[in-house]
Amino acid sequence: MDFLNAFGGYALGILGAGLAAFMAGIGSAKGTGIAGEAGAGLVSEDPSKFGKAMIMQVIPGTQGLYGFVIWFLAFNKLVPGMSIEQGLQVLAACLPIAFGGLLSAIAQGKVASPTTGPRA
Amino acid sequence: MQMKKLRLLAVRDVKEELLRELIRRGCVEISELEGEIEGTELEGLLHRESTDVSALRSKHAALVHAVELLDVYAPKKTKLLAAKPELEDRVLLDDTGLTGALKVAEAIESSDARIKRIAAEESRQRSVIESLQPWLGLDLPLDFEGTERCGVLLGTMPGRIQLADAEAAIAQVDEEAELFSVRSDKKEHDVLLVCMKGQLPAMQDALRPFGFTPSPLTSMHGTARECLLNAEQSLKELAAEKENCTQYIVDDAVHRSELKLAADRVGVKISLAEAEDRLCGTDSVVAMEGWFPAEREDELAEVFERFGCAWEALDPAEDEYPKVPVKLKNNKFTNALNMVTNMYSLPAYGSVDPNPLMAPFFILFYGLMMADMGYGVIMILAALVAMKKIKPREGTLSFCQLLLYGGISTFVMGALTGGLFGDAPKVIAGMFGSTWEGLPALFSPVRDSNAVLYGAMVLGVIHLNVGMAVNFHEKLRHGDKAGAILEEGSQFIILLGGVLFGLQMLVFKDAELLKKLGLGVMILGAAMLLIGSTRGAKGFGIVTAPFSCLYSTLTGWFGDVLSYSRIMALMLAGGVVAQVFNTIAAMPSAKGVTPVSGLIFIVVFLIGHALNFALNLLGCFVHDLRLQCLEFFGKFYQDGGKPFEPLCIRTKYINPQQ
Repeated sequence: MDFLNAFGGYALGILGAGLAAFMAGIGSAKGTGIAGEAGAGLVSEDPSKFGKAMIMQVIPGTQGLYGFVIWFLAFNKLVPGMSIEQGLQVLAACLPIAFGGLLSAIAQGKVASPTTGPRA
Repeated sequence: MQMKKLRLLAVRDVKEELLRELIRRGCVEISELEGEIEGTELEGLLHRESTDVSALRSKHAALVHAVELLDVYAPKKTKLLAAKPELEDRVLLDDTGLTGALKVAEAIESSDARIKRIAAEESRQRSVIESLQPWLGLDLPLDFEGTERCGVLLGTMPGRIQLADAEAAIAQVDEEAELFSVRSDKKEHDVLLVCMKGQLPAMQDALRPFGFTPSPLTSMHGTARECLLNAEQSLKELAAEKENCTQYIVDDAVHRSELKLAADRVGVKISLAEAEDRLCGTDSVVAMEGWFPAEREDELAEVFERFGCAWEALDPAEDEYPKVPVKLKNNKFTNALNMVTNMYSLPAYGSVDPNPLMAPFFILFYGLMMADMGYGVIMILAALVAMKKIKPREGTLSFCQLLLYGGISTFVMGALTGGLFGDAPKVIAGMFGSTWEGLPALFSPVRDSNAVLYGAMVLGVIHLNVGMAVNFHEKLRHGDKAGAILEEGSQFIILLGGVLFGLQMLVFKDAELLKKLGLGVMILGAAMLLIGSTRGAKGFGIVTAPFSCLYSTLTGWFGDVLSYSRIMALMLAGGVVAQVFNTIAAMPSAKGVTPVSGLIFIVVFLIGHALNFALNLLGCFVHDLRLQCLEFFGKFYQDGGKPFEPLCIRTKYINPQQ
């Protein structure tokens, strides 16, 4: 218990920061992969669409960068010996981009067809 | 750039000379004659010009193929960064020596075809040699069919069969018959069957359950050994012939530059023929339609007068705009951005040329994302060397220019953030025991991450507002005053209110009036925006339109501005990765620098930075591109322009010179 009190908050904070970068990163990897496959198909038919296809492919890459920004901001808040509450706060602040980034990047990759698509 | 529509009539006799003059000037796009003729009395009189483009294309393909074959058989050492040779354009329009070059190309191609046939024959002979191997021990000719009474048969059986069983089986048919094993291994038995001639079919039936198959080699003459020698002999002959054919091609390598010149000449002829195919004419007159940049009108007028043409140049009408080809007007600075615009999509004719607007932002953002003096210097050097050595044109030139400007910006931002291959100076000093803090930095993404993040977003707000201002201006230019004021203007007013409000919150904390003023201005702007959104809405839409407008404006701005945080993220990521590599490289030197640890430092440093540089070069470009093409262009850009493709000299191997 003492150990938890001493390091628990810090560990939770690290967990949160890690999750932000890690899950949003997975989402972006998956999303750009999906959009890239569709784009490669389009470009092989019409090479002049390369630029547009590439931009469409990059769109789901944003979530990974957001995850990275949050990781960095969260990491700056971490102090060894911080309380469990403080750690939980950091963790909670990180979870939205972790899950949101993971799911939205994949969904966005599916929608970002090379000719029309949303932006984020 | 402003374009003019050209309509021209010329005497048939000058047609070819005129086209040659135009291809040299390279500023007229010849389009199909518009459907004005059809259904009129002219239709019977005019007929389309027709040239034999496909014959020219096949000649061109043959010449290019010959050059490629030469590169395979007689590779020429070229410098890594070599500029194409230059020739005067008159030389390219000339077609002397074409027949000779075509003959050489034909010879090269037939030699190559011969070599391919030889290769096929060689592999056939090799497989014969392979199949003869088991029978080398047999001194009967392979095609020996037996004596008057006695029949022989060569065949194989799987290796798992016991030969004794097979012998027993044939003995049941005839005691006299015999099975000789020529060779046996785990995989197969190669056997010779000797029996009475009349019993051969019966013997085969008896052996079938043992998997006996007659050998196909019986079609060959002589013993296996003789056949083997023959095959080896013909392999030798084939190799010699192949050598000869290759030598023919290698000997033709002296014609390489002639072939290249001929290929480019035919390429020019193809362009001319394609242009000619678009013309219409009677027996004595040809008609041409096309587009040219308005600024070249005087020059073209002189040409047309010289050829005695009847012509007119018209400004395109508004409804013709979708058909007008687009050429961007560029100076040295904005030309770099051509690559970006071409990659995305050209602006519609008559809309804004985005290059000058985009250039400063693109280059600034690129520098911010890369932000390293070392990487900047590499980019500048690479661009300068490429420009000097390759003498690039068009697309490659704008790429080099972009690399140069991006490099300069990267260097400047690197100087501001104290980045030189990450924190290399500090790490290297640390290896030698110094506690120096490293290069001074005005701001650093690691130390002042929040400030950099906000700064990136502020840049984003400026960028987006420039885009909106452009749209505001465009709307005014087209007389849509209400739209400009209610849509873009209202957002400017909201922003102004926001700035006033923000000033009170952050700077003038006791100025209550300022806060009220800011709020008031914001409400005024919002009201204008909402009123604007009801324009054009019908029925119940008048009630819902303001809500959807409010929602999309708010989320749109939120998303767009947030998107600029990538500037900070990439700046940080590139810097941190560089630092990590520096740290890893310096680890073995932690207890003092030895020759080995120094060497490890150099190797890890080079590999790590090469990797980080390559990743960032591409990553920053792509994300910068995205900020321009999605966020910035989203505010004003009208794409869908048709590229201007003038009749001009296009070459593969030679750069034309006027």
